Order: sequence, then C-alpha cells, then structure tokens
Amino acid sequence: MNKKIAIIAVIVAIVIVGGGAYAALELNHHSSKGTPVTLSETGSTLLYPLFNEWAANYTSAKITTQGTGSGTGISDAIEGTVVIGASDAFMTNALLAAHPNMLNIPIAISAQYIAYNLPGLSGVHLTLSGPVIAGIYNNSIQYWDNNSIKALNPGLDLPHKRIVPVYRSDGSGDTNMFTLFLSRSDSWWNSTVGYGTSVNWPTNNASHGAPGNAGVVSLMQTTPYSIGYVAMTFTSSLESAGLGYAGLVNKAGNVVLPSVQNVSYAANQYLSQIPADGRIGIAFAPGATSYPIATFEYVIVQKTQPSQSVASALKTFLTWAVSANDGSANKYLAPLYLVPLPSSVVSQVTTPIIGQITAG
Amino acid sequence: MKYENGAVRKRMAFDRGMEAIGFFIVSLLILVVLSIFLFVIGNGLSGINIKILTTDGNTTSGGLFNAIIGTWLLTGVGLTISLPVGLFGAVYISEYSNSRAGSFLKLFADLLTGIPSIVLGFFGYLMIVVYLRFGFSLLAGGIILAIMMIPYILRISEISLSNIPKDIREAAYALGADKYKMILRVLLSKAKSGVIVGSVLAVSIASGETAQLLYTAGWNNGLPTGLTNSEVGYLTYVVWQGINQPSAYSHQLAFAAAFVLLVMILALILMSKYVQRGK
Amino acid sequence: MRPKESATERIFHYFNFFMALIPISIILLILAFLSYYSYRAIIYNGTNFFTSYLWYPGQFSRNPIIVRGILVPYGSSFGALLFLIGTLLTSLIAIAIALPTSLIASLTINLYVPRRLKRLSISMLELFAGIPSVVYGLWGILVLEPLLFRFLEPWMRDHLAFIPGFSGAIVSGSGIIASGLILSIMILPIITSVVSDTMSSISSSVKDGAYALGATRWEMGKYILRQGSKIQTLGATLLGLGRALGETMAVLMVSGSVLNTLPDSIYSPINTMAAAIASLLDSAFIDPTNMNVYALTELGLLLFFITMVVNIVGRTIVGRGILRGYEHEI
Repeated sequence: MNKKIAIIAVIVAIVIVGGGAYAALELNHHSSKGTPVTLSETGSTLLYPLFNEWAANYTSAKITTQGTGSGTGISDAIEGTVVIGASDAFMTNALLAAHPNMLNIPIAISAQYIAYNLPGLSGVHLTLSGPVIAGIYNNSIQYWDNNSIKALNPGLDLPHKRIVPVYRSDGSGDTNMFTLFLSRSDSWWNSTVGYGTSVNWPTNNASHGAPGNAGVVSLMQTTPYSIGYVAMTFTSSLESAGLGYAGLVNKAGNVVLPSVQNVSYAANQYLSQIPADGRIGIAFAPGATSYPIATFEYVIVQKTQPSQSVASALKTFLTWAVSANDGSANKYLAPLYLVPLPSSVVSQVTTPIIGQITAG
Repeated sequence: MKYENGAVRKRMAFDRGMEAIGFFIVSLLILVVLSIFLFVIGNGLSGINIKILTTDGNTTSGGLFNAIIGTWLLTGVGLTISLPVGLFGAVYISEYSNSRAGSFLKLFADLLTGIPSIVLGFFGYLMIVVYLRFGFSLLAGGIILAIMMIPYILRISEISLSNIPKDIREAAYALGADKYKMILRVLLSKAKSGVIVGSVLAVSIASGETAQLLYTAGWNNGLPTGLTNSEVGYLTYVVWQGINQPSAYSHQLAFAAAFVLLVMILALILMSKYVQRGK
Repeated sequence: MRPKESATERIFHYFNFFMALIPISIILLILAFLSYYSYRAIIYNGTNFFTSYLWYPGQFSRNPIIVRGILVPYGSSFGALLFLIGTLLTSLIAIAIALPTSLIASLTINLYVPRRLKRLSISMLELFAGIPSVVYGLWGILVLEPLLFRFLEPWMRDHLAFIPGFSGAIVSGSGIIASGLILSIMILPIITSVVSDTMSSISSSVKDGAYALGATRWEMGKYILRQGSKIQTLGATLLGLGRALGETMAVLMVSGSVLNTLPDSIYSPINTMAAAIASLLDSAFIDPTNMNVYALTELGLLLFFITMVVNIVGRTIVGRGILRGYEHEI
C-alpha cells in the first residue's frame, strides 16, 4: 500500500512543481520583448459586441475582449490590468481627481427606449414626458389611466391598471443616461434623486429591478403593464418580446421618436459646449428634433502608457475606430443601433484627446 | 383475528397511499427536469452542429470549441486539487479525529458552501490574480473552483465512510491489517460510491457557476497557453454573456453552450453510475 | 486490538490531518480578507447597516465627504435590512419545500420504484445539479414566472389569504415565491443524492429483516429514516442551505431584485445579499472612495456570519431535539 501513498505524493508533487515551473516560465515569457502588441479590453457589455467585431476585423494589433460591465472596465484600465476600459459613462470629477492620468475618449453614441408592455395597445407609440416618467417611478402616478398620461395621449383608451416600473438592479450606464434625462427635465427628480449609474430609487411597492438590458426585457415581457428603459442596441430583443416604445417630449416641446437622425441631431446641439476632456452628458438636448435620451460611449485609457509600442498601437487603433471609413462605418455600428460620432466631434474632440496618449 | 386483519388492511392502504404520493412527487420532479431540459434543447439543439463544436468563438460570433476545452481544463484542475483534500479530509474526520473535533471540522466545510460565488470570485481576483500574480488563468480559476468543490466532496465522502458498519473495520484489524491499510484497502473501496457521488455533484455544481470565474479565469477567444497568466474560456461565460447580448446568434450560442454543458454532465453522471455498478 | 503506529501510519495520519485542516485555513483566509476589506464600512455604517433598508451608493457626480473620519460618497447609505430579510426568507422557503420533497422522493425511489427505473430516476434528479444557474434563471423567467403569475399566485391569494402575508397585490411573477421555488429546485439534488445514497446503503442490510417481520414498505422507510439517515439528512440539509444562502445568478434574475422597498406580501419582489453583491459590484468600482466595495464586502461578511449561525443553531436545535445522543456526529 505504500505504492498508493507514493502515487498520491507524486501527483501532489507534480501539481505543485508543475504549477511553479509554469508560473516561472510564464513570468519569463511575459518579460521577454518582441511579442506582437496586444490591446486588452474589458468593460461595457453594450460596447462588447462592437469590440468583438472590431477585434475580428482589425489587423494591426491583436485585441482581446471581455464584457464585464463599465465599472470593471474603468477600474481595470486604472489598475493597468487592461489597456482599454470601455464605459457607457465618463469618469466623474472625483474619480478623475483621484486618477488624473486617465483619458475619457468619446467613440460612439448610444440612445435608449422608454419601453412598455401594454396589452391591447398596438400600432401606436405612447407619448411620455420627463415629469410623467419621474412621477411613475416616484409612485405619484400609479395607474396607466392617470390624467397626466391621458393628457399626453388624447384619444387613447388607457387601462386602469397598476404601472410596474422596472429599473436596472445593477449599476449601469443606461441608468446614468435615463436619470440624467429625468434630472434635466424634472426639478423634483433633480433635487431629490439626481443621476448616476446607481441612484437612490424612490420607494415604490410595484417597482422591480432586473439585471442587464436583457434582464429588463425578459422581466417586462412576462409582466404586463410594466414600463422600463432599454438600450437601443436591444431593438431586436424589444421587438421579439412584443414591447412597445414611447415618443418623448424633448426640450423644445416636440414629441420625438428614437432614430439615428434624431440622436445624431441631439449630439450636434452640444458641439460648442463639449469640454476639451470630452466629458459631457447629452441628455435632454435642445433643438427641434433632438431625441432626449442619448449618451456618448467612452473608451477609458491611461494617458501615459507603459511602452512606446503599446502607446502607438493604441493611438492607431482608436483613430481607426472613430474613422467613418473604418471602425465607425455603417457595417459595424448599424447592426447594433449605435450612432457614429458627428465628424465635427471626431475632429474637434476625439482626435485631440487621442493625441494626448504618450509613452512613460 | 378480524381486528388484526383490519389493521393490516389499514397499514397496506396507507402504504399504497404513500406510494401514490411518492410517485406523484417523483413524477413532478422529473417533469420539472424535463421541462428545463426541453427548454434548453428547444432553444439550443438547432444551434448545435459540427462547426460550432469545433471552432473557437467569442460569444457574438464563432463557435464553442475554446469554451468546451476550457471548461474541461478548469474543472480538471479544480478536481485535481479538491479530490485529495475532500477525500483525505473526510478520512481524517471519520477515522482519526474524535467526534468533537470532527464536528468542528465539518462545520467549516459546510461554511464553505455558503460563501457566495461572487465573493469567492472577488477574493480570488485580489489574492490569486493580482497578489500572487497568476493573472486571469487556468490555475486561478481552478483553485477557486476547487474551493467550492471541496465541501461537497468532503461531506459526502465523510457521510459515506460513516455509513460503513464498525464490524468491517474490526474484521480488518482482526486480520492484522494496519490502520492505513485498512482505510485504503477496505474503507475507500466501500465508500467509493459516496466519493463518486460527491465528486460528480461537485463537478456539476462547479461547471454550472459563472460569477467566480469572471474574476479569475477571464475569457479567451482561443485556448490558454499555460497554467498562469493566460485567460481561459468556459461554457457558462457563453451562456451568461450570450443571453445578455441583443443578437439572435448570441442567444443561439448561449443555449447551445447550456445544451453542451447539460450533455457533458449527463455523460458524467452516467459514467459514474457505470463505475459504481462495477464495484 | 488496535495495531501500533508505524512510520507510514504516522505519515498517513498527518497527511489526512493536513487535508482536513485545509477547509478551515481557507475559511480563515477568506474571513481575514473580508474583515480587512470591510472594517471601514463597519465604522461608517454602524447599526444603520442592520436597521435601514436603503442601499444607495451615493452621488458620484458630487465630491466625497468625510463622515466619522472616513471619506465616503455624498449621500451614500448602506442599509442591508432588505437583503437580510430576502436571504433568510427565500432560503427558508427553499428548505421548507426541498427537504420534505427530497425525503419523500428518496424513499419512493428506494422503496417503491422498480429496480430498473431506480438508477434512471436518480440520474434524472442528479441532473438538476448540472443545470447552470443562469439557465435556472432563464427558465424561471420564461416558464415558471408566467405560471406563478397567472395560476399559482392568484390561487394562493384567493384560498390562503387568511395566512398573514398571503394577501396583497400581484403585479408580476418575479419575487419571493419564484426565488424560493428556484432555490428549492437547486438544492433538491444535494439533499436527494445524500439521502438516497444513505438509504440504499442501510436498506440493503435491514430490508429483508424488516420485510420478514411483516413491515410494509412505508414502515420500513420510516424505520430507515428514524434509524440511520437522520444525521445524514441534517448534514445534507445544511449543505443545501449553504448553497441557497449563497446562490447568486438565478435569484438575481427571478427575484425582481428590488431596491429600497420592503416586501408587503409574499407576492412582492425581493432582493438577497448574494444577488445584491453581484449586481452592485461593478458600479462600486467607480466609487473614488472605495466605500461601495467595502460596504459590499461587509455584506459578504454578514452573509458569512449568517451561514455560520444557521449552521451552528441548526446543529444544536436539531441535535438536541431529534438526535439526542448524536450531537457530536453531526
């Protein structure tokens, strides 16, 4: 029976020694120079399919991707465990103050539906406004036939059913743009709740949380009389779930449906106000046909990259990504319902920020 | 006599009643399993083909090959670490420790199951990935999987060992066997079925988890190139990530991954039954 | 009778001892990790952690403030009451459903099901364990929840309203009932495989004797349950309970993971500690003060203590009540 003990001892020894040897080899391997540049990316699940397409078609460097959520992307980029952090929201002042070496680079625009599950209502888009949506989420508007909803939708036969507001239970860029829209269009919301990737949701006995855009769509699909916010990249899921989406009252007082034109138009309204560091919320934009819930998508990178080869590979890649002929071409963005940056934003904002990347 | 017959009839009737209830519950459970199965097959089978099984993918395009191999590697590393710990830990508790110490050791094994996978993942990220510099890797993911597998293997092996009657041990001693020989030759072969049940359960549960691997194994569009500092793909990432993507192809990949996972675990269970029967 | 210890014997003994110590070492390591990462949160949150149900990461767009000497996000509040109630409630429901179901299922499979079908039905039940939690969650949303919403929950409200908490508005299928049911399905295979393994090892030795004495199959089942498998059943239940307390993804998807609102009936949406950690961790990383990460770690620490207390209390109460004399074997 000593044999058995011997065998076990040998196995354990092999595992330990083998692991150690591998680790040593790996460390050695990583310190060696001359390997092709890899740009690793983690972050936003909304940008994840875009980065996968880019990774498959970009040839000048190897790109690895992982959809983890925007917060993890930003944190990984700060820690330097990845080169690129993809995020649906820019870094806040306090976070940037703590990590001044970080750049926020706008690379695309995404927008959002206000979706609803209203059985019996088909073929028409409900009209909603910021204050009404704020009222629904803060429990002061409880039923679909509430007068303030009726006033926006004359002639529609709305049921006397409890509204079920759905929000994202995870921290999310979608929550950020949704609450920024509410903050800019409703003073109560602005002073009481505010905006952010997670907010202090008002107490409401009917409200539900769900993880991710997919979670929101699934929950709404099986929950009649629900309302929620869903990223435009989920258009096909929304359609197959049979959910409707609303036209929204914008800052100019017009009712606007979400579309590439209306979102791009909204972004253009802010052109003169975009600060040099690229950080601006474009929700509730002025302008006649501006769609009011949209946001810049960001790439978060370190200003000072560890090596010259990574810095130049990164600059080349980002320039490729925002070019209308390359990474921002229709074939990449249109299937995901993402909107390309207006060319003026690329030349006046994104390109100068990319130029700040250097090697340390 | 008549009275007794009545009592017997009553007992028999009660027995049949319980049989009916029991069959009802078992059928209900099997119905639920089948429902989940059909749910996965209905959504996943159409996506299964040779190409998907043999090409690498990234959850929005390509196939599942890297994820399938990665899952095997991760659970393999996990089992290599957790099996000796679980099995011989169980031997110690059942054969060497006094009952107080044994119950103390068992308490800690049970506590391990209550640590949420996300906390394990976060712990693994800071301790193994960052502090030990293993990076997102096979070894980091495997160690974290092993941590969650140990309690199932240990507890179920221990229960199995304690089910072995005392006389068998005494008989072995009477034949002059040393204690370790008695354990290795007699007890382990008697407890084999429990050890296998525990291992299969542990592997099944481990291969169905996502959260702890997100922070330790990462994801790789190809195969890992080493034990450390090389990301690994795995099937539950495809399920979790694919479901959260808008494209129909991602959903198809996600269900195909869930289907492959179920088939793998079914095969594992059948294999373990075969081994158990051969004892 | 016991042979004297040889050198090999001693090595084997120590090897086993070393292996048995590994779970404790891991637990202590994780405990140290959790304590280190949460002590700032413990100071900041104080008793608010247990008395408040408002969990709010704070306004990251405003500058952090200093409270009790610790830098925290403006307006942040970390009250875990809702998650605490949710975790306990859903795990309790899960055990209440899974324990009797698996006992009856194991008895039936071992006593009534014909030998040929026995292996097949055990394999079927073991398959439960191999279904990824995400798939449970999806199945829960798309198959289970509509059934609950349309049939079971309205029936419960109409017929069981006299039980406190069973009357109330039903606005969706997600919530306490869905979470409890999904959890019970997830822990079933753990309890069932242990109990039926034990039963088949006992029943082979006592079966013939019991039948010879004229016992019915059910009486034999009761005998087996009483004699042999009580400790094993408790052990398996505690294992299952641990899984229920710590389960993350499936619950996250079917709980209606609500924030800042306590349930007012059994039909309400809920949230649990493990699900909250998973869903809030990502945005916690962008908190410049790190307090959100610390607070979530405190949630993990609390969950750890709950698992410990539940295990210890379970062992003592059940040990005293039913398993008199077996206390040390649990």
